[in-house]
Amino acid sequence: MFNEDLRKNWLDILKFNSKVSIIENPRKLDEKVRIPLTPIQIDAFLLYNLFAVLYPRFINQQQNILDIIVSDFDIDNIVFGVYLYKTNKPGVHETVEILPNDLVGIKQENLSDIKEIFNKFQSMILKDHGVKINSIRLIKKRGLDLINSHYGKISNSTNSDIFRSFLDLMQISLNGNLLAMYPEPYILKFLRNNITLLEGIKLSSIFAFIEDLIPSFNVLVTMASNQLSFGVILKKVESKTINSDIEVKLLPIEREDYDLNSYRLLTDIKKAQQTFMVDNVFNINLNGILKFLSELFENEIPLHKEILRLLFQKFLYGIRRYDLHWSMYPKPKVFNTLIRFLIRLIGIDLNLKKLSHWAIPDYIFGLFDTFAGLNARILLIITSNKTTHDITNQTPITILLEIENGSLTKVKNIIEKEILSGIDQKSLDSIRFAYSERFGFITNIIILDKILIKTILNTFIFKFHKISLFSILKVLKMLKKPQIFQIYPEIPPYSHLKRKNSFFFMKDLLKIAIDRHNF
Amino acid sequence: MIENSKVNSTDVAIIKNDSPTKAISNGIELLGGISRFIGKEDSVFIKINLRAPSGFPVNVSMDSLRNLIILCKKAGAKEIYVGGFPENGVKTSTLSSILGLKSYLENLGAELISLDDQVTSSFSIVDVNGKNIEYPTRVLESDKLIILNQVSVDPLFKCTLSILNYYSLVSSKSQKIEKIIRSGKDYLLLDQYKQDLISNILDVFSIKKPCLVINDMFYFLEGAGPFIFKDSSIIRTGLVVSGSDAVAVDLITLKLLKIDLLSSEILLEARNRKLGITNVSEINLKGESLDANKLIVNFSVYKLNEITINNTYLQEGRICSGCFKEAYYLLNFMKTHMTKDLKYIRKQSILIGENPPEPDTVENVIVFGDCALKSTKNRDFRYIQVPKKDSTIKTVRGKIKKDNSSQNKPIMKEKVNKSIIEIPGCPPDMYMSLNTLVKYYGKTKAPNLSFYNALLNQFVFKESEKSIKKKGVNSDV
Ligand code: SF4
Repeated sequence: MFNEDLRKNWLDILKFNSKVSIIENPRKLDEKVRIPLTPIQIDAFLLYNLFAVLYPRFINQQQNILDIIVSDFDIDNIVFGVYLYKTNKPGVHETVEILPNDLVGIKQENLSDIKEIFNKFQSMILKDHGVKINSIRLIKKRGLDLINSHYGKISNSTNSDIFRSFLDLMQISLNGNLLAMYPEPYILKFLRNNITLLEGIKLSSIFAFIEDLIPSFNVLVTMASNQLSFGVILKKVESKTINSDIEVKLLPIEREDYDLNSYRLLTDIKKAQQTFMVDNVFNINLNGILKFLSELFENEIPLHKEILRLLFQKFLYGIRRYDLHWSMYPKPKVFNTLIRFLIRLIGIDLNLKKLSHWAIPDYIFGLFDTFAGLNARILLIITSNKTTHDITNQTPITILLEIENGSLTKVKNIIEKEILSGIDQKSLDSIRFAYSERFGFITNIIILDKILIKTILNTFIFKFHKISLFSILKVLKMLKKPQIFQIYPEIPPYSHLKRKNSFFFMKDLLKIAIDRHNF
Repeated sequence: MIENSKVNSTDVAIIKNDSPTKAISNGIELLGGISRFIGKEDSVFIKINLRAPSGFPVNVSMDSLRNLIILCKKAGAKEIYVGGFPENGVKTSTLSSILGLKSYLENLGAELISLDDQVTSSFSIVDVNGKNIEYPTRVLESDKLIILNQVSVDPLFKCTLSILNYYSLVSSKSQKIEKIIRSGKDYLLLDQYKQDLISNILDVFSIKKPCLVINDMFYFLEGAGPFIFKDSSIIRTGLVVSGSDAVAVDLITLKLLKIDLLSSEILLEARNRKLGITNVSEINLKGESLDANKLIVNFSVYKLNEITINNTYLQEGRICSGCFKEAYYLLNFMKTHMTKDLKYIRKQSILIGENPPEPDTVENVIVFGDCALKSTKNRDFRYIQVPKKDSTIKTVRGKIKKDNSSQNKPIMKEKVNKSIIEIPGCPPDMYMSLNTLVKYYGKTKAPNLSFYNALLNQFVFKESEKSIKKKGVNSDV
């Protein structure tokens, strides 16, 4: 029933985990396993720790888990396999016990009441084995087949292909309810509901799109807390002859080698950069990230605008807390006091440590709600190397965003080309009308070229350490070029940007974005 | 009153549907179909909400409008005009270019009419109860008039009824209520402003009866409205109310919102003037049941001090609905768009109405409206006590002598308080209020407002900005 590789790797993980509690220093075991469902080799003890910290936080905090494999067809008892994991530590799978398939009979119609299934298994296993299970994972056979076929790709595909396959697997499983859990963790509900917002958009396509846009990079992201410290090396290799690929490595950050300051950040990130031979190091307080994610997953989807406002605020607050919640090497120029002082002389305050996290979301949401409306349909057309207004001679990506009461409720990929047949495609009027006839009134069309997205990603993420007035000005100037960015009909904030000198516009923006003084 | 409908005016349809456009079509179908309202070769004027350069639901739902235009065309309408005066003197052309309206309507086979364009629009003077009303000739001459009204909460009338929508067939200038004090009558106590406003609204409404009235409440804006503010929120009710008697349609709409006729001053006055049906038992209800579809919604606040704003203290005297409405907009605007500014400003007081209490502090006192301005002319807050500066020689001499008297209490002198922002008007105009605030606070203290004001400059203040520049007033006060 299980792919051999998958089975072997999983048993290796269990074997290692069961050794941890009886060995004095499990770190020294130096065993390698693969992260389930991925090709990523990882130190087995790090994986143990990842499960021990992340599983209780995001999936289930209690011990003893039961996996049930069920058929997709309507037969007398649809149970194909029952696997009991007795866990001493929540989330850390150590042993597996195969239980008889007829322990509890399930019919297809029972699947709608997973709580009932859980109760039956719980009482039966308690009676027969004296073990109280606290969660079940129900996997449909089709889901398992998909996992097996995904595993088949691992040995002979690039990492990028495998990530795409993993994302497809996740999307199909969640969309088709091939995986269910009881009690249902917030993260599962969050992911499933987010995926239902996407219509005709594959997660793997989004990944491919972003992968294509991002430049070559070689970064180390270190995350540390009291319980867990690790690093992820992400490397994108581009070459003219072969397709680009992304390398991912997870490695333990030994606390003996690196000191943590009181904010749980590495004190010497330069050393990490040199040791791991990467261009940049992002050093993040793990507890902060985990707390943010836990809160994020608890929300209903679509995210209510107030929740979105709050999450945005928290995100900006995180950015503002440089040296406290995160740091990076090389240190971003904007954090250099001398440079900031010099910029200040021309009347500009670019101090990201004073980012107005408390006011920016209100202002942006206020402007958006006012000018786009609480209900809106926005057509996003992403072009590549657009030199004219004409969008006919390329195949742009066309996405429809539907907003209701200020929340994003649908993201739809539009593939029908015939919508534009017979209309003047140089006229944004006609394009808007054609789409409005098909999908309802289109509030605004936004046309942007990939080069703009690339520049924004470079400026604000990959080359963040070099961010300066000039790089921000460059983005603003690009926004003014109709061959790169257009909004139709033009909303007042955009008309204002177009009319105003970019430097003075930026100055006004920074007044809004940066605190005048600390409170 | 000019009549223009073949339909039994007692019919009102309540439709509930999953699709906003179907809700409108089904309503019209239930009333006998569009051909009962629109004849072949008719010229039709559709009056919509065209309030401001803002998205839905400040303006009408374009999907509903599209549906209605298509129905009119199917019925054989020769010409379909769409229009209405935007609020606060914003030009239709400006609004059209921000919303991309003109070309969209042209593509649908309708024409956007700029009633405010002197060149293309003419007005007829209509005498109603001795008042001369400038009424658009185009509407007067159209064979049929339809009101497509987006229902949202409203600070004065609880919700935006079709009769209120109708009022913006006349210009903002004509809509302005002149303060006329009747002898022996207390203008504020009787809320004469609102009475005059209602009287004007009904005068305009009585000129030409619409043949079809649609109250589109499929999406209902609750909380703060009818513009989009921080406390605004949309609920999906799925309901549309339609009929040919605007008063009856509005009455049923209010009933759905659990508001009684007796609580609606405007419908009570319409009843007095016999402008439509105000007795539910005389209305022939079709479609959904009225009782089964009643809604619980959050209406706008009735008291200004219920709008809580950071660092802002409101002192309210006796006010009428004029200042209430404008202050309601201003306060909600501050709450929505001035988060940062309010923190920088630290403390501001707003005095409003006749004889408002003294402000808590003498800093940043906004005196809002003519009543507040007039009644606080000689108030204490207009003057501040500052220590009198001794001459430099006296101070130095005092220091050399270590004169104890120099440590005595400083002598105080009275100065005019310059931290006062006067916003005149009866009532003041919202956009001008913002402009005054920007001039006072400047970019440093009010970066959010300054930026927003720059956006408004694009479509509201073009003229006033020139005069500001001429006078050389520096906005960075
Ligand atoms: S100033 Fe304001 S309160 Fe006074 S009468 Fe005019 S509108 Fe009413």
